Amino acid sequence: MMPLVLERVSKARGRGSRAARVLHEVSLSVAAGEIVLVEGPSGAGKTTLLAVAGGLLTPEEGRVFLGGRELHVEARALDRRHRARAVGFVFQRANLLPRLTVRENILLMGAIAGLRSEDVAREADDLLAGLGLTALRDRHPHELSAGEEQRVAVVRAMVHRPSVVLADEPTGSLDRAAGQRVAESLAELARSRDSAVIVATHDVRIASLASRLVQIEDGRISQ
Amino acid sequence: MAACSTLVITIASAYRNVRLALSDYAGQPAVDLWIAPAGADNLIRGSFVSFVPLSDASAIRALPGVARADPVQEAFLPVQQLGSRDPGKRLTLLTIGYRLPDGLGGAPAYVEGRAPRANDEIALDRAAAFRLKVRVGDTVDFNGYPALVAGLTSGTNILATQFVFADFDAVSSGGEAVGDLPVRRLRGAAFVLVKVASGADRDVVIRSIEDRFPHLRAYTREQFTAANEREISAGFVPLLALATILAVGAAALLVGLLILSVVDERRGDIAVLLALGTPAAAVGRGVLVQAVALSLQGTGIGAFLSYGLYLALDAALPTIPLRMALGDVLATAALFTATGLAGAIVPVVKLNAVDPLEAFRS
Repeated sequence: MMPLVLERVSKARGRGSRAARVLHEVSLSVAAGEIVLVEGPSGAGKTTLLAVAGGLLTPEEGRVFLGGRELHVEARALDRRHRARAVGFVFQRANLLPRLTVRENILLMGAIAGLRSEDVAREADDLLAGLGLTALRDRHPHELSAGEEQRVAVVRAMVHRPSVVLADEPTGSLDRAAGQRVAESLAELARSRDSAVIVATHDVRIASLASRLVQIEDGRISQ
Repeated sequence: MAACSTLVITIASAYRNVRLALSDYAGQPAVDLWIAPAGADNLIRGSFVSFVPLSDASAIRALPGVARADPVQEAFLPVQQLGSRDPGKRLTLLTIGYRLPDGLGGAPAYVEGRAPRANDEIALDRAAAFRLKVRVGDTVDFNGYPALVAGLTSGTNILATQFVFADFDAVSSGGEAVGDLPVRRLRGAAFVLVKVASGADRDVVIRSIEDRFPHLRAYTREQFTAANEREISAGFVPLLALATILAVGAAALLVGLLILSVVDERRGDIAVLLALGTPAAAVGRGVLVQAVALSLQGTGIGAFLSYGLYLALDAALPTIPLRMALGDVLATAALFTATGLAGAIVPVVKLNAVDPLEAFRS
């Protein structure tokens, strides 16, 4: 079973005569443990692709299968619950909640996914230790460097063992070294957990970590 | 929020004090029945025009089942420092005249000194003594005559005025003649206070009094207390309600704006939570919890400030009497919690405008 399948998905922004197509009949499948790099210029539709794949946007046409389940055919609450368990997000900025510690930020994801707190805590500690971040666990985001924050965000995206991880420009606001470490962390955790990963990026420096490269331009992809 | 709840608790405490001051006096356990002319069922709307003839008081005393029947006089009389000619320093106080030394109708409690024993002695409410700058043992000008302040009473301050307790005849005899002007003398009693004999049926005594004296009404202690509370509520409750409405309105606006600013400030975090899969209802609940916490904190600080104000006023300015009650604080907390929830409605509605996709842009 492919963790993520998009079948002839189209998505427009705006309505009526002002509607503009952002995705044109996009089809894409990502296998477990596979890291797909989606590369393209600004406005090409990378973020929209991630949002549709993650169930945050409903396509006008086509079908989206996430973790073996088709989205947008059942009640929205069921979709939300399913995607909370099945998807992990990494944003361009870490977007950690500033009032929570590193560990609390990670545990929060487990709570959102509806997992047992003991299990999530154990997993969080293992992940932090694996990436050498244990010393930061009780710190608040403002006490971390941008690279550290983003690696914590990677742990947050992985802690509930999602079948799909969607990362939007995860190295976009980092320097080369920090970006490299974040990309390596993401790749290492995704492969060890068999998660399907889509990384939308401009950063071709991390292409070496990808299993596959996909180009997107004007909402159409070429593989 | 704290200032609003302080205002509400303080006004409620002032109202409680006035209500209890009247009911403490009207409800004193030594008195079973209050006999008054028809229509005069409380101390405020007392019988300043019509009176119970003193002969009726004697006749009531002779009825079967009556252990005691003492007349009580009620009048607004001037009190000032002895020798003072400054009308601005004269207080007009609600004067209760009763049969000294131990007739029914005396002060319910003393904080200092003792009850008056002779017709040239009085007992003053302690706030009145504070206003007059007199103490126990001082002599004051009471209705034109010198009188010794024998004691200071508590629970007898009804904010607009205070009580004075004096001899029945001294209160009835009117004031000092000014030139050739005639002095009004009170012929009769404002009320007759009855103690029912042990073993006698109170209802039977009431019927016998009202049958024998059709121009009089006999009220049980409970009825008379309730009538006094009703009378004071009629004047006070609209003020309390107005202040509460204004305070609640201000608090709701404050909570609303505060929570709205928090929602705006944390819009990015909210978008992230929604993108990660948090139900919008859970985020809304979080906002409501924050509003309630804010309201309870405000009420807690308000209660603390009110208590401080109560202690300060009691020590330094007893003319403004407060009686704080836990019930008032809890009611205020409940009211302000509801206010906080109401104030959070707009911010919660505004949450719907937060798009989870903002997490990608922030």
